[in-house]
Amino acid sequence: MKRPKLLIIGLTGCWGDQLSILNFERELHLLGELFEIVSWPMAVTGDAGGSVDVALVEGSVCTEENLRTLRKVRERAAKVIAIGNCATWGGVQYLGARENDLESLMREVYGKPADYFDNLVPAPLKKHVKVDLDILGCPVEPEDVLDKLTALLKGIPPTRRVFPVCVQCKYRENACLLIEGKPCLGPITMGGCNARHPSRGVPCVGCRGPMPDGESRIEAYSNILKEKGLSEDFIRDKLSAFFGVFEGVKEGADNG
Amino acid sequence: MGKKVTVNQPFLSRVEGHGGITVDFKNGEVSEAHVKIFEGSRYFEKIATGRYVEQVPELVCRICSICSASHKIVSIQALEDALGIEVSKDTRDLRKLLHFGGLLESHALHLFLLALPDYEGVPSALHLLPRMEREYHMGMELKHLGNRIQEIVGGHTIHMPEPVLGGFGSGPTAGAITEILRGIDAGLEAANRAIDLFGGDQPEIPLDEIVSFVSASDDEEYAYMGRKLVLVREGKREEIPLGNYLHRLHEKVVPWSRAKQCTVDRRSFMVGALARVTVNGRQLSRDALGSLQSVRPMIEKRNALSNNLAQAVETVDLLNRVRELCLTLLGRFPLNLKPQTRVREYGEGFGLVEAPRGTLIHHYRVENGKVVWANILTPTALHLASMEERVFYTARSLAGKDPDEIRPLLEIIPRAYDPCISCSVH
Repeated sequence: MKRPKLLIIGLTGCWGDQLSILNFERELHLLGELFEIVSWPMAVTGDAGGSVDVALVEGSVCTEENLRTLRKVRERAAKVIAIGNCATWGGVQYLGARENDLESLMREVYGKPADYFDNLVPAPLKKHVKVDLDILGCPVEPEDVLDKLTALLKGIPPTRRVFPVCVQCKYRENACLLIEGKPCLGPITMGGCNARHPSRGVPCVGCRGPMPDGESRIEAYSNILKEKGLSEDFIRDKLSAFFGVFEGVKEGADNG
Repeated sequence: MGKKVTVNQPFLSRVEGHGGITVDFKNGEVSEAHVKIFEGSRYFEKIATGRYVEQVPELVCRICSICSASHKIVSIQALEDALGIEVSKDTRDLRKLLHFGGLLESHALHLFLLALPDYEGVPSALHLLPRMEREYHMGMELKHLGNRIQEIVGGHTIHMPEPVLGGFGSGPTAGAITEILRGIDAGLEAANRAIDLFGGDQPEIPLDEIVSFVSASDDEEYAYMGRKLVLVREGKREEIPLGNYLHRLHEKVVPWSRAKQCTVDRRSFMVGALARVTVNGRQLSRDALGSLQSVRPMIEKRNALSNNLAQAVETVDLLNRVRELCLTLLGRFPLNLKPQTRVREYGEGFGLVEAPRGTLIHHYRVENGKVVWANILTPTALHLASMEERVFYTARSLAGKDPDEIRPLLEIIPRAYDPCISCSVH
């Protein structure tokens, strides 16, 4: 049976989502057996060329080169899957440079030579091309990638399970950090990470991105934190880390 | 002869991040050799500015996935330095253990997945199967061990929840620590195999000797963390206290790289395993010293490929230290990891760790519990200039050959430096 053709590439990011796949140490060789890996610069030298059945793309679009690469991948691939927060939400770098910040930011970092670099405002893939599927995470869960990859190739609509981090946290019988007065973003963050942070006594930071009704939850959630005695300034800071996409949070999140 | 020839590798493979090499030949001489870093900027120093200190480590660990633990640890250390937080011995030792896990995972990834294919003439580690099935699986198990250490100690392999400012969250269980111990022997087998593989036949490529190295240094032990730097240049040693780094390490912008280049006294230097072994080699653990002795001639060539071998030697050292540290920690359970309080809300702090690829410095100024200024020096940015010089030398030695012959050889150089390009730009 002909193996489906796979392409894996990173744009601008920490390469954590590709590393997650490489972290499947005992199963990695199976990837090579199940798929024909046409291109994967991080791990394989050489591109076999031609079209592919599916492309996994991590990282956000932060440079003209990223955009060119993304467009070429979109042309080549029947399906494009965005993996990780950078590709699905714009990532942590979205915080650093929004519309009105980019110019002055470049000058600050590079001085006059800033003109050499064709940087863009960091954006998720969907801002520029059609994306067939988002896989959330920072980084993604490798099991998720394998599951969704296989489903997509079989033409089965991948299941989208929508629940906040709290669901898995409760399942693990953790003491609730929010009740203890800690700024845990569990209630407004997409679950699926098995509540790793709260299970270690560390408040959730929201890295998988917001729940679909996120914007409406923000105000209610902020009120809860205020009741616990946290300042508005601190709350805004906490929310803007991975939730900077929301208008209300964006305004206050100016790192001047 | 009279013409201009360009050898271009626009997209390096089997490295972390986006980089390329361009070499121009004119009349048979190298007129320019550049390592082009086109990885996108993410402005992490800016992201850290204006944020509450509790938030910062969780954000800056995202500079890189492979060295996520290194960034998290050094960021926390720099903030603790600024705020006068004294952590417990258990916290310090557990952070060391986490750091060792990250170093092991990174070295195994680099040696077996990224570099070994160059020694065996194949395009990827997957192509090592089935001929080198044993080595492939050994390498993957070693990488797995490094990851298990990070998962057990920190809570995840990438962007882990622990440690936190002042201490840890819940920390690992004693049972989980014993799991680590069970993997050491197999790990040492893999490390020793790596010594054979990288100490044996080398890829045929003309390489020059590197004469300048920088590493963290510690009077008590081989430094994977420290409070001072040591520069070794043509045999001479200079100590640089961490607080002085800005006076000695100079960064500059070059138009072909979003990562800045760094020099000391206008000269390049290398960081990473080869630098550490050169600067502090006599402090390696006994087994590692034995391994070093067995491959001394290749290490003392101090060329780019020696770095791979130095990583293999460090892997032996790290596994021994992990075993020792786990046994020590087990004797001290339950551990005292409770986050210690800060004595003030303002200050200036420095952190220095040896990330897998080399010296990593975080430097913050804090006011009212928020970071108001941040400076981060990453290992790959520190030795980009050194990397370029190697490319220049090797290209010069290959002048006149066919570009298709030159290109794959030049690629071996950045790979041997084991760059973390995302880190270098941040």
